[in-house]
Amino acid sequence: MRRYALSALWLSCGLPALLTAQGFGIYEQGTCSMGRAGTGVAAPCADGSAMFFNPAGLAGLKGGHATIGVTLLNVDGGFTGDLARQTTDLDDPLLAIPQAYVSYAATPKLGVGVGLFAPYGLETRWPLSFDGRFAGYKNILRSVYIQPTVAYQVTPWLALGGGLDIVLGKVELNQRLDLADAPVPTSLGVPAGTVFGQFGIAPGTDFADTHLEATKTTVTAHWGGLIKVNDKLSIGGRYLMHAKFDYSGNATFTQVPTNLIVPADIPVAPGLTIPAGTPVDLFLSLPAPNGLNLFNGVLVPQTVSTTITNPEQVVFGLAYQLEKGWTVFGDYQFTRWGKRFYVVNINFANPLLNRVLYERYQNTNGFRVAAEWVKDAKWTLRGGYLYHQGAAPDETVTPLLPEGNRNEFTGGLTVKLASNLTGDFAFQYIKQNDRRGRTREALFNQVPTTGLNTGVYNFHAELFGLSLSYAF
Amino acid sequence: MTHARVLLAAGVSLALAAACHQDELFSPRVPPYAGGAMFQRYVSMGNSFTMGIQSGGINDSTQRVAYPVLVAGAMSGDPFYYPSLTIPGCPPPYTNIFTGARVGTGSTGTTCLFRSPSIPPYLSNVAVSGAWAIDLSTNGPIPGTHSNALTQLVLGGRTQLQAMMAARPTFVSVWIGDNDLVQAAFANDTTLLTDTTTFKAQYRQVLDSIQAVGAQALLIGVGEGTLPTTIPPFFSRGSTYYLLFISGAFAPAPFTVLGNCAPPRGDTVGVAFPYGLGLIGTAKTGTPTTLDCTAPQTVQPASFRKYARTQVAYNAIIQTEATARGWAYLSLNAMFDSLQTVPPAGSQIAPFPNANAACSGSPFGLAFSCDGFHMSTATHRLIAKKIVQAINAKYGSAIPAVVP
Repeated sequence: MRRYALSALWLSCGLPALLTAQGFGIYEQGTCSMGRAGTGVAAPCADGSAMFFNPAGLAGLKGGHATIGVTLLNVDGGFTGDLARQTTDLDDPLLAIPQAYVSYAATPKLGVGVGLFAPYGLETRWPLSFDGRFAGYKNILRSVYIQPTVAYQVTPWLALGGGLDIVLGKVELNQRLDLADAPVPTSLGVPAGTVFGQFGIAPGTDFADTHLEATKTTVTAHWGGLIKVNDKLSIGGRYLMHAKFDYSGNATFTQVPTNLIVPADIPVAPGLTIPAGTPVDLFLSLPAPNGLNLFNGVLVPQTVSTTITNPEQVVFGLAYQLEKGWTVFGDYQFTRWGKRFYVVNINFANPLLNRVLYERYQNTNGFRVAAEWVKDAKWTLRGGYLYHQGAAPDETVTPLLPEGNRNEFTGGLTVKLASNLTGDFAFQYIKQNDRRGRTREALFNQVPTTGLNTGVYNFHAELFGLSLSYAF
Repeated sequence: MTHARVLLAAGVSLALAAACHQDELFSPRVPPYAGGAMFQRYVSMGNSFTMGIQSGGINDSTQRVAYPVLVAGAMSGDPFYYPSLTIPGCPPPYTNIFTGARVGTGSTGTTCLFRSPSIPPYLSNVAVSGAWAIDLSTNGPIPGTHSNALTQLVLGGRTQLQAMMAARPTFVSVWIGDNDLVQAAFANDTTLLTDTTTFKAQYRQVLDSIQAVGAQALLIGVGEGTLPTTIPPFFSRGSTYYLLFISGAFAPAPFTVLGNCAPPRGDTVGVAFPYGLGLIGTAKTGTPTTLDCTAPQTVQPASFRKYARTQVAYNAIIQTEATARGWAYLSLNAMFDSLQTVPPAGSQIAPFPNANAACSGSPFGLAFSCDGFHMSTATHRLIAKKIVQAINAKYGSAIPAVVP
């Protein structure tokens, strides 16, 4: 039972949807911190989430803490094309992301713990009627970090912490193939680079479904420090190292009927005429000389590999205690996307299928501010705001991750339910600026430009966090 | 309390800033003139006239000057995409129809280059050369249809109706029915005419689909002139041959034109230029030939009368349907008729082809391209102007004039 529960937890942590930090970063790793707009690198919450927000925050805690929680995500977004002005909505379901942290003060100076979080990941689902299905209609990127953590109070004013992260990665891409864009084999006597669209096949003619799936486990590390300047002011910083995944997996292809019939004899090349009445689907699947044998030739199950790197995060912040139980927080985050997510090569066993995705992400900056008010021993209230830049440049806003600059508003509370039991609730509203983007990749692995953009992506989401912390 | 107010004010300000809608992100939209929304996206359906055939061939150069492209340019709506055929074409247009020379080195009548590799997201000009009324809704190889290689290259297995609906048009023009009429004349076989009942049913099916997508429409009548007053220069009248013959124009070749070609009977006898010039060509080799205006290769007066009646009947159906559906109707026959009167006589529609001229010399007159049947670029421009005028008159819109 326990094993099933753990499996379910991992699975759920891998379903973060199109979430709330730059690029495919995710920052909602604890209900308390969520109410603070993710601030807390200088004063992490006492629920064990310090393992993500600042590993050094485990030092100086008293006793043990076990936290379980869930974040419910209601994601709304879509794409509105320039031409038809028709909007296609994201198909993402209501998602629930559990959280779990266990920490323990081994000594008054030494804190240890294990955290499970997913600071990177995405899931975008689009209906099959969406033109973006050819870029990807169900796209999943999971990175589940399991982080054993140690923190030590070096001096009364300095604490340091670190963790070793075992990262379970998985990538899944499901897409349709468009016959109009598919190259015609040169064996038919046509010039190289000729596509079926030049034979009149209309764009948006699905002829195959592709499923790519790959996994990889890698290791990285996470460091943090806290300085207590005085009784009111503390500053903190953390550094989450990059995690590189050399993914390896499988690709499978399934034929999708076009139901098209060749209306007249078509002279393709000298000596080769496709007769009138030939079903296009048969022509694609039959072996030569009557067909192209695609599904027993090029589009057969095969290995696929790619490399994706989760970038470094560097966060600095401060916390300042005001009068009457008020504390204010401010954090700055730098994420090094530019170095880590620039070009993604997807390599198949058959190199004819190789793809190059020019993501060209840019380094991003995020700013978070929050305030917290300890009303009394039972109630603590908090709220915050954050802004961060989008990592994707204007030419890379795609169905895989149509992200952009975001403004987010949060609120939350902690209530002491019993002497050793507290409950947390948080709400977060995310508004992403509308942004022009595209639905298709450039043909033949060419570098995309903003000239491919054909409409506007919109996105907003409501998040609800609930958690229980038990002190022992 | 002060802290709370500051936080609240900051939050509200930021929320308002974020809430600003960003309509400006979309590409330019509604055409900026009265009634422009109706012409947001224009789709044209039809046959070779609409597709842009000239001089017995087609390529991007002829497609880009076809009347729908010019009309769409005036409408200023969404991009108008035609199925651009790579030069030299499919088949390449003639450069000299009398020698058989075509655009491109070594090109023949079977040369066929494919579409341009730049595939548009939808098609605006879905017309296909050779289409009859039935072909707008039905593709080959179903019996009775007339699909050809261009049907595949343009539509890729779809019908014109399916391609039209996929484009989500706001306005559609339909010019179909000429092949239902003239292919019988080309074959000199009146039994090939599509009967009016069938034509009406096939035509209405097209119109019902246009209504189903919610588009407005312009229906264009059949004909390149009122039969038999005006006939395309693919045909010369028997009387023209006769008058040239008695004037000695064919001497010294042993070419004779019989008296049954003389006016008035010969005025309603049609002689297709391949047949008539073939006889003359043979005579020029020294072999005597004779044009007999009762020969089965010639279109007889009775047939002409039948074609004329059919043209009237088709156009009555088209006009009635347009009226019933509240759409615009345009017959271009008066325009073609008037071209005959443009001085100097015969300059626009040559009564007899100039077999010594290459295509650049307009052997069939300035109004027609070098096959004697398909319109010239100048006539496409004239048609585009008439269409814009007809649409504006019907719908009260202010589509700018086609220039020049």
